Amino acid sequence: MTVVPPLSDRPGDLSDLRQFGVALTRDDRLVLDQASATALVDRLFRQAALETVSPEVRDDKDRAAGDDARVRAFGQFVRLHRRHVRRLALDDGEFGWDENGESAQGKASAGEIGIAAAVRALPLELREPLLIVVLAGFNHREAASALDISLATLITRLTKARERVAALTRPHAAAAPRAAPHLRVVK
Amino acid sequence: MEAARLADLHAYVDDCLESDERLAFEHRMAQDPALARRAALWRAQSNAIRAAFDGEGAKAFPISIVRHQNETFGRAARSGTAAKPSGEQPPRATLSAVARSRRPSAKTIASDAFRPSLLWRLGVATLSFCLAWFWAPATTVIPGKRLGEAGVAAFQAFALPGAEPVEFATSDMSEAQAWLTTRLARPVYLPATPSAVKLVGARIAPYPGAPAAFLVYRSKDRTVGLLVQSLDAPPTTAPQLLAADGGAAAVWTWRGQGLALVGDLDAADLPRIAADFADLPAEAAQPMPERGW
Repeated sequence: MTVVPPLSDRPGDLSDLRQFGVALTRDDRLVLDQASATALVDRLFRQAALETVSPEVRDDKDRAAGDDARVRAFGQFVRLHRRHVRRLALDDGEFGWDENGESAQGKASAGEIGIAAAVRALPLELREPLLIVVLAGFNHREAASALDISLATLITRLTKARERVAALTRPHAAAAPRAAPHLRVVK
Repeated sequence: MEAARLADLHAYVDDCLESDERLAFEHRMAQDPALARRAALWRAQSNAIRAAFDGEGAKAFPISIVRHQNETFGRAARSGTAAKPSGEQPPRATLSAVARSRRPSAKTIASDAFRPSLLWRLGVATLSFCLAWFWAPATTVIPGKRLGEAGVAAFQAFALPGAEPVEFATSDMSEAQAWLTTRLARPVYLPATPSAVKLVGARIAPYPGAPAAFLVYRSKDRTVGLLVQSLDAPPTTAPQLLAADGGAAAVWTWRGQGLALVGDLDAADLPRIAADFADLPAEAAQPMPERGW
């Protein structure tokens, strides 16, 4: 087994990891646009040195090894991204800043926004499990392993993430009613 | 909701259950409409997230082009955020704003001397245009898989038993066509309804990029959905059965639109009904609405 840049012999995995990475890294606070997110993902890819498996899958053992490598690759990417976020916070002098803090949009009251914006508004700890399960197609056990959390924590975070996205994308009609308009006499 | 039930619900939505566990959970959902509604909502949400982030990996820029801008850009945006009062929304930084804020260094000035001339840039642009002109694909690429997946997602989200499947209930195809044309602000052409099915109504369904029309039909005691999305002038094709997102869809093109027929039918019935839709003569359809509405 050789050490090479991330999953270079498995283009499908690389594409999945890139898609997951771009979706994960973009938010409303640190990485504001698509180009920045893509560049950050490329940089994290360069930092990663991931073990890969042979592309020829001969039997179940090989397939299990491939799945295991996939979990490790995503796990390593998540760890590098968390480290990057912490470093940015320290560089900016936000010593007390929590990587799990909500963005401004996330703190905003529920209203109708797009699904992508709602996902970006989630705190990182909720965005990670939602995207790794929904976008990367990991089962729960693999996702918990890649994110280095327990299965119970994963389920709790998935529940919070899905409920929050549903609340943010709900139409205005479901939100709190506005004050009724009224006429004022102007002299 | 207790933790075990919640875990099962997530496992069902994320397709992590074995077939017997899945059947057992579907049985539980049949007895608990609230559970079924939540599962349908989360499943539709997952499909919408996949559609929203579809192609993110392929949109990658070469690192050499954007890395420098990204580092400058991100930092400028963040420092701008820190300087603003907490209640105020920071303006979104632009590349030009970041560029204006930077003073040119000696190194930058030196490198400017070696920048390609305007004539060189014009030459490269002309060459690129010519290459794009000659190498443009001759035929429109039909997103059959995407149509099928969107159709299956819409069917799962809106046509489940107990849910209100349509926004506009009508059995008249021309009424549905007029309603969809108004709602989508573009011409929508519907195929004439075959005798084997009966139109129930229409609604708007999510689709990557732009919303699509979704029609609900009844065939005997089963529900059938038809997703209609306008495409970039594709040639008319015959229905083709595709596996999409755990279901099946019959996909074809007609009158510049992609159509995907989905439903909880037997595997043999779906292509047959799709063929009925596609084989009806164009005269049988209602007159085309005026462009420009």
